[in-house]
Amino acid sequence: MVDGWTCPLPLRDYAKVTIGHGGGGQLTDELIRHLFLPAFGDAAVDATPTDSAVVAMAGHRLAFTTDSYVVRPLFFPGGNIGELAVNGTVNDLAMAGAQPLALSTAFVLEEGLELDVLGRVATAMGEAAVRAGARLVTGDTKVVDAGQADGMYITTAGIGLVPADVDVRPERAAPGDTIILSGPVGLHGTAVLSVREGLEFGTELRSDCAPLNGLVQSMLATDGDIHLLRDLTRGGLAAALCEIAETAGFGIRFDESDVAVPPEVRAACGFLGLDPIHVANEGKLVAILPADDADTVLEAMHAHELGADAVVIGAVTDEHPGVVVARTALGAHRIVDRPLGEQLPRIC
Amino acid sequence: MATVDFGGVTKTVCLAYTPDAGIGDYTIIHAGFAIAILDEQAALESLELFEQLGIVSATTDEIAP
Amino acid sequence: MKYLSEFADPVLAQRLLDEISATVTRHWAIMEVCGGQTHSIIRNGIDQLLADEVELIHGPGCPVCVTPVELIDRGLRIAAMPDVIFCSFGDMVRVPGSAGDLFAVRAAGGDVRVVYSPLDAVAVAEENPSKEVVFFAVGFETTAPANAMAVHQAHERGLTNFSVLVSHGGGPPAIEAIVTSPESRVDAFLAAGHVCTVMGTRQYEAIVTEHRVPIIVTGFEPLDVLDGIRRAVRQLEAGRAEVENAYARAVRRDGNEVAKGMLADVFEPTDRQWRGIGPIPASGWRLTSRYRSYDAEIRFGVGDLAVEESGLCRSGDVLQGIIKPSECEAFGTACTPRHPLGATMVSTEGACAAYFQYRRLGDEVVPGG
Repeated sequence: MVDGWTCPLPLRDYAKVTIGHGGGGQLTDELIRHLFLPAFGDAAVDATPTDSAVVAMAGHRLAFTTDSYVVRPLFFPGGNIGELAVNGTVNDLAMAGAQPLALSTAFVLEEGLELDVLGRVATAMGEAAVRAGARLVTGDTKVVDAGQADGMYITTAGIGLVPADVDVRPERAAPGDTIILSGPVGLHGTAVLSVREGLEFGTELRSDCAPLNGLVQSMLATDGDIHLLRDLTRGGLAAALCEIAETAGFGIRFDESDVAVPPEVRAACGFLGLDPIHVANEGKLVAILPADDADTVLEAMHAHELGADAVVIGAVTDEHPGVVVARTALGAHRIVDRPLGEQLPRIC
Repeated sequence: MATVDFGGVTKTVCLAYTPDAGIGDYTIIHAGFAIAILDEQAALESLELFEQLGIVSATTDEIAP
Repeated sequence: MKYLSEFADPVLAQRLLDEISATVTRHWAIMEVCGGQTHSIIRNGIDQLLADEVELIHGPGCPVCVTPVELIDRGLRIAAMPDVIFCSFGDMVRVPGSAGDLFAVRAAGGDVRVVYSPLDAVAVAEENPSKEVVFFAVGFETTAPANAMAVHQAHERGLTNFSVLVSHGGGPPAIEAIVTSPESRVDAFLAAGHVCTVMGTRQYEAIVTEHRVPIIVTGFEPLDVLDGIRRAVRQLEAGRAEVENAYARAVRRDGNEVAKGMLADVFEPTDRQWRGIGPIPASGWRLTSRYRSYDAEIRFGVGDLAVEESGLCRSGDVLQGIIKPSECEAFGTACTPRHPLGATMVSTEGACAAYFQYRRLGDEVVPGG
């Protein structure tokens, strides 16, 4: 407890942390801007509220990131918490244009967790790291009382090297730039919801959880001047585009008909009352680049298994700064907002 | 209770309010309950009507002075 | 899914739009009553595509939005009680009462659970015999049968630890309240298709006869909404006023007799408050005497908790098309989507919330305008 600490800009709605504060939406954003950054004070002068930071060190640029993983249940169609923890951190590094080098793994385990479960999760982490070409170099293990950690929580941190000729960051997005989406959306969130207690539904869908650094490398290897990369995670395509628009200070428009939504995702979203572009992904990215470079980069993406369905969905514009506008299938327009917090089924 | 296929996604729902629902019927589901059996004939007639609208107005346009 | 994508076809949508343009000769104000239709209109941008003569007035929105503040406060108080498991649809947990929402109660240690079906709440009661399990029974007549079944099943199974906080409303009285308001500008209504799958179209016949206002029972897909508008315009232009069924694949004149039977057993009409609008006689439902012991308001003694609604909110006027949202003094200041005063700002698709969103574009594009 810090003596005399007061929130400089009181969080208006809640006196306590709510689930929504961890949803990656507006509430999370408020927590960062109005609590963490002011509280950290001078220590956070260089901090950017982005998923990974690039720090210059001994003539090199290192990307650095950390993430905690909490998912219920631990295993879901197409993946588990361990795979998620490695791929998520690998992807955050990749979005800075970095090749991941080393990852740390810290476990908070619930008393009573089956060692067999832990073993399967750990194995998946090793395999995911190998697939991404990264090493798991250090870690930590803590155990908490039964009933406290949903089985386990995992925190990973990672460092990666940004090649000298790569400059990928939000500030480079500019009006006229084209936006590419790497594939169909909503798979991860739908797969996890299908096994969420109380919501269970049957589906063949699997999470798209995957390391994107290989795809990014093949994109960076082209002549295309990629301005910005962003993986789609919580809050889905909508949250990613809104965050880009807000950070870059430009508007974004995209065509809904160009965003592929698998029929099963659409069906599940239908009865849960969710918008597919708000649903989480773990293996998709958007790239923002000059329109003239789109074809070259698309060609490279199509040659990679994780970018086979990549398409241009829209563009950056100097109209409506900070706002994302979608062209609907009927040819009208709608404003796209990021979700407030966690995705909840809407029934009535 | 019965299993309903939402187009690749299945969910268990209560059929207490649609006792006549049989296998293969399309139903309207709300809050875990089937509340109506979909009348396929009526659905097709609606779509047919919309098709006709276009043709009728296109024809009207052509013969309009 | 069968008969969903077909009813979103852009080519057929254009035909319906053309037909509406070809039919309309003067200004008409049409209200879609149900939040699901408003959602479809905003989601697809239908309002921007319609002929200028057709003005859509967004109705009261979803059942969540019209739930009065004091009922939410009662729910919050019950949810905060020890040994209570409070179950709710996801819709309701973020809707603010006069202080906080269900998420805040959960953060303070309350056991609040999101369920997909009211039967899930009954299951929670069965699994937790030492706890009181309360279900927030919110919804129009579409959801009411599901909630009625939950009460009925709890009764059948002799569950004494289950109760419901009832916020059911809707029905012809709500439409009638708007029709009979002297200042109302609404020329025709699109009635909620899913409500009518349960209640049938017959329930509107008396209103149409008495007040000479067209009521079109309308579905939710883009073509359904457009067909509802097309039929409304056609009636208005011809000077007709009839109940018309534009959702024939799901709605019958008598509705769902089985579900109506269950509703009549479990619920009876009562007066109710609508958030930001005020009281409407016989527009709500409460448990019948047979099931009164399942009433959470009585069980937990919260029935006398009263809250004054904000005097600033003019959502009643917005709903009747008397003012535009931006003409309300509280709009964008005392009333925002994060801190809504009335139903029309609570719902993402409510007229005020939609205006608030579109204002960000900084131009004259306004929904329904």
